Amino acid sequence: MNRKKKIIFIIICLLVFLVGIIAFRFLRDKDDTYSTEYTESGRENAVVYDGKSYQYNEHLSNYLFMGIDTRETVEGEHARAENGRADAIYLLSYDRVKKTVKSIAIPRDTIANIHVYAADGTDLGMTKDHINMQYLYGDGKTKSCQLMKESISTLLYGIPIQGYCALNMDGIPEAVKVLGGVNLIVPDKTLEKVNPKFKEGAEVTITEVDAEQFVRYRDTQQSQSAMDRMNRQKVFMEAFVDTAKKQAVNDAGLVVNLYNGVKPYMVTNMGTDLFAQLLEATYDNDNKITDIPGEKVDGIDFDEYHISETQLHELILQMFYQELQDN
Amino acid sequence: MRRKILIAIGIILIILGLIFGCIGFYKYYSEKKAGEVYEDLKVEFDMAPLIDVPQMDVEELEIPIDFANLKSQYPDVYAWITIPGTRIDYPIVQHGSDNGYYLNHTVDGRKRVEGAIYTENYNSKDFSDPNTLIYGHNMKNGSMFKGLHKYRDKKYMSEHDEVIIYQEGRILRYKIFAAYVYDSRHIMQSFDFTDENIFRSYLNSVLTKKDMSSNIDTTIDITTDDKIITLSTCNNNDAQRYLVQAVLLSIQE
Repeated sequence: MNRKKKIIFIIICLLVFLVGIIAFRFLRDKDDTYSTEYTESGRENAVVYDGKSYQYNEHLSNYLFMGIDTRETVEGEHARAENGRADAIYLLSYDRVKKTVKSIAIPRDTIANIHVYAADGTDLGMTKDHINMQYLYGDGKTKSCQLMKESISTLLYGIPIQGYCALNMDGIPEAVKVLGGVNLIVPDKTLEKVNPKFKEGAEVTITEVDAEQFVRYRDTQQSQSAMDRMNRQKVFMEAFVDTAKKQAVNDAGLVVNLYNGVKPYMVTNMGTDLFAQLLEATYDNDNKITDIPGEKVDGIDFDEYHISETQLHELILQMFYQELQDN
Repeated sequence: MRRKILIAIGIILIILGLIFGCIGFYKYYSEKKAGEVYEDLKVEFDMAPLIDVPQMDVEELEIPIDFANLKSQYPDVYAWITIPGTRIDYPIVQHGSDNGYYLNHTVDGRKRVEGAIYTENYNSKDFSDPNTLIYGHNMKNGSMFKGLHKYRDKKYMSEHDEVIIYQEGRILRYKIFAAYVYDSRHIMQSFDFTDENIFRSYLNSVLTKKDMSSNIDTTIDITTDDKIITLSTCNNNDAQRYLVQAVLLSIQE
């Protein structure tokens, strides 16, 4: 064998060997005859809807705001009326990068899975009931807030909730006092009977004297009056935030004053700086409050609100998730 | 001498190359071909294409499977599962004694990666159990139960929510109500579904599941009187399974 033949022989041998190994490696990568993909697009934590992939928007921080009513009578074996109920429930979602906020209103009569505890703290498991009842099964303070936080998070498909703020309705006049009144347009005629000032469509200034009436009154004889009230509360909140942000521009101490004013009526794990940030985020925002999709149902004893899960799922995707672009 | 060594090394290299190449190709081939035996079965025993089954005629029992022939050739076949609009359209088998047999054997008893769609003998063969577990591999080429993963998409689920199981002389219709990732525990060994309380709390735990990647249809009222089926396939790792569950709506005989 001469030198040239030798080289050719070696090259052929090596080539066959290499082709074999490459074929083995290449095909063995696909050796898992069993699929290892989660989805068609192969993204592990993605939520898929209508063929598109979505991922949770990590820029969001979500805060639960509750108005607590300790005055209405409460029924239920283990319910502790003195704790109060969460009669106004809002989830505020703050985008830390875009510096914007969005909020969702959750009707107090929403039927949800809530966690029931006996007075001595014994865990009695889960039951389906009005979500506002969840607050009762705590201590009226931090524990109640934690329970609400968990139930609302579950209700909203497990989105994380970073903070909470529960304000007793008795603190609202105090807050209005700090602002020196809140201007708004009365949205309906549900208050006309009890206070002629609140005619539908009238432009009024809510003062510390009538603030409570405006946000709390409802005709319990009237079916679904809590929904009308929620609507009124929304109008009030939007007007309140609007007034507060206008004043905050000229008054750097406003948030602290508000915070201190309502402090005796408030349970929260959020600091004044966070409130200030949230208020600031409302400046260039339309501050519309989204209603949770569902329908009013007249229950046996109490009004109920039944969530439309399909629409809620879509709302959660739209508000808290981002569509993943194809690679 | 040097020449002989050179030739020997050369031959060894060639042989090794060929062996590796063949193994690689064989694996590739069996992955590509996975589920093909079932395509043949469909042709052989599907008497009528499924899409033509008239839904209007309730009186007439239209079973598009030639069970008599199918069973005579493959005695372990006792039902046929189909999910309209998907690729899932397979015979269901149960081995008399070896529950693991059809994990890696096709219905014709050949050792194949795709195995079969099968139940274990924890379940009866008439779907009368509170929960019947049906297993199938998550094949990369899309065959067997890989299609279950499409139920991660809530919209897809609402558009493909019917499961039909054919048996000799009867048709069972199911509606899919849940699709979610679960741990890999052996469900039939972990829950005694014949105990009504256990079945109730199990159903409750499924129906109250609420997160963005679990799709649960809460509009269907499911009680312990209902019979459900659970279709189970792999979910990428050993610790998890992907489950699709359906509730029995009607039996046509």
